[in-house]
Amino acid sequence: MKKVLYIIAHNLRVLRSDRSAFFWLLAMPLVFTFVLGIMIRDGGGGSGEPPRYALTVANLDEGEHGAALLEAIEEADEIDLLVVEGPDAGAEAEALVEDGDRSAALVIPADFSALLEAGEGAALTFHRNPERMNPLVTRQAVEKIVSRLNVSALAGAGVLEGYEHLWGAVPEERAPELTARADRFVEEASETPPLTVRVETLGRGPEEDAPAMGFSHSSPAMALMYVLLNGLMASVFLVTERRERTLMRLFTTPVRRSTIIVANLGWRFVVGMIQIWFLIGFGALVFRVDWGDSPVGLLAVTVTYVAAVAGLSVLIGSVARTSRQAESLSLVLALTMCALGGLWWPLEITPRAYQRVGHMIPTGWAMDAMHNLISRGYTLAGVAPQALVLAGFAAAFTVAAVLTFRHE
Amino acid sequence: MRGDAIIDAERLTKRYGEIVAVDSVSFEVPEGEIFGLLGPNGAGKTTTIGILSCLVTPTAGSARICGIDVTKDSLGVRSKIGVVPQEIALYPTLSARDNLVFWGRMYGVPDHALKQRIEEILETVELSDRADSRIDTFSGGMKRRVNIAAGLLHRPSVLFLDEPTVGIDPQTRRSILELVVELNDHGLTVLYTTHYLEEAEFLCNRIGIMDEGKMLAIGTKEELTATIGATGVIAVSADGMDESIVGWLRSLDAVADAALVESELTINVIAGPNLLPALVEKLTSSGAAVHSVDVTVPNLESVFLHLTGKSLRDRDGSPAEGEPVGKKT
Repeated sequence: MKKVLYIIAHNLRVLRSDRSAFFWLLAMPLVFTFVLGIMIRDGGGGSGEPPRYALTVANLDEGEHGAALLEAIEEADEIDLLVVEGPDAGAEAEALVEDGDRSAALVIPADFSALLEAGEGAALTFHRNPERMNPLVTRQAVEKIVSRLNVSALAGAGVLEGYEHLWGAVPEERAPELTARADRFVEEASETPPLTVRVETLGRGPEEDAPAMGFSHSSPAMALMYVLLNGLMASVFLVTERRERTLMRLFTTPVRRSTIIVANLGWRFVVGMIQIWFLIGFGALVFRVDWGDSPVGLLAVTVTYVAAVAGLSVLIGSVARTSRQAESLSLVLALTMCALGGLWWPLEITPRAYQRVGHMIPTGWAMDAMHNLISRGYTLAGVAPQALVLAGFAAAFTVAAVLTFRHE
Repeated sequence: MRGDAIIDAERLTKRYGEIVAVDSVSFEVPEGEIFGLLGPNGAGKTTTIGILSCLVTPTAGSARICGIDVTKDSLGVRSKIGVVPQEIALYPTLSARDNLVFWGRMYGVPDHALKQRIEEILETVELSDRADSRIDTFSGGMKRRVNIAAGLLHRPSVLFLDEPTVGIDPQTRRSILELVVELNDHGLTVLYTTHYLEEAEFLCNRIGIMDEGKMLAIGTKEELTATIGATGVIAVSADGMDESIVGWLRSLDAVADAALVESELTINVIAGPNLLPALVEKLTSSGAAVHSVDVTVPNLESVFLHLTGKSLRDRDGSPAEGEPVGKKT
């Protein structure tokens, strides 16, 4: 055990002597966390605040109904509104969506008020960019507002028709008062609607949850990605040790093979743990990410994930013949696992087949566990399945590494 | 263990599929001796050291270091030996002291003794003033000395030096050979592999000549040269020679062996001086342009030529002709 600790300490010293290591281990992940967090904050934002969904509105109508609709949208908490005005507002809003600058736009036609006042139906146009993450959610928010206005309009019409049925034609001066009363009634009734749907979640499926966005996604994703990337690239150390014969020399000293292997796994594990907890801490303090209420669950996930990465790193170092081979293999594996595991974009927005592939590799399970902790507020029991699967990956990689470990 | 041998190898064999890297090699090395394994690249020297240092499992045969079987107690053997590989097996971004601390700990040197051992070793290899400099700032010779120092920290019973002077300049070579002699003067047993015959002649008490995995002969330089029955060696440097001259020489009663390597002709002669006029005439008549002719006493090159019919000399890697390889004190 003493020699395991000596070798771990020695390798950390070798790592420390390479100043660029700190940049790759700590600085780069923070830069990417920030960049990715900003990129996907549209509709997400950091944790702690309700998500807001970007919507551009071009109101071509000059009547009161268009203004009322716009006002209702402005008052909606979940909408991050951008109003474009002018004669070309419709085309401008369309272009913003088409170019990907905004995820969705609503165009209120010029004859909107006129059609409603004539008792005819009016159609709004909703433009969406499928490449952006939240148009569906934005559309739902818009439909909620439109539905509310529809109910008010129908209630107003109902009141007028009832009045007419009971007392004859509605005096012109009373009509606005009656429709306003109906509108108030709808507004008050909507606080406590007579019909409600109680949702009970049975089982669990990522597609049922809104994906974590902003730093809530980028912080865990980049922590997992850089632990994987740096961890696998550390396989080059092993190839270098073989090439420079220091590993061979170690095998001529009175140190057991098992000690050497455990130490090689050990120092990679220590570096990975330091790195991931540094990034978690930084995420919490600077990016205001709420990592959930279960530090033990977070510890279980990080321990098993880093152990899997350490095992895979030693395995690659054992099978690669040259440093270039180890670098290439590490890079290809790391980037593929990041993409498939949902580290670059939430798995929840990907097709079901993609999600299944993502759960054949450690990153998919690790990100799933992070999502459970951060977005769903699960405890240790909630992430135990993921931690167990990650422990299985760690065991499999370690066994393969032990079988292939060689000094020349 | 046979007698007082620190190294005792019996019929060591190592096969890699069809290739026999070491073929039934036996030898003993008594305490306090510098024993050389001399042979060209691929002769099986490094594999032999690999078996003795428990890196390679022998296919057949047995070996004991200080009476400990290398296949049965590898940790016991490794605690008795110091291995200095041909390569600079050190961590270049760490200081000499940090490297020695690490290797000392791996050899199990207690912490309370390690500091003093390191100071002593650094003094022995004359690097005390550079102890805290990074290895990658050292010259080739300094790296070689730290490389050797790392194998001495635990005061091994025997030191394995695997071609420690390959590819280094004459001055560094000299300093390393002198260091080996100094260590041996303090009682250290050394197993030294080389393909430079000058080093083997200068350094080793006894020499084992290896080729193609086999141990061809073992003895002191004098014992080995006596076996060839030659009284002199003629070395000819000439352009335009071919194998026909070797055939002609071997047909002569005065010639024990002859070999041609590029433009260098080596002849082990039984009656040297009488052969010279006929040789020069033969070379001239065959159109060869003779640059030099040297007549010397038999050496290990002559022995290797006698045993294998080939020349051991590697002109590119050997010390220059006549260059002293070291100074025995």
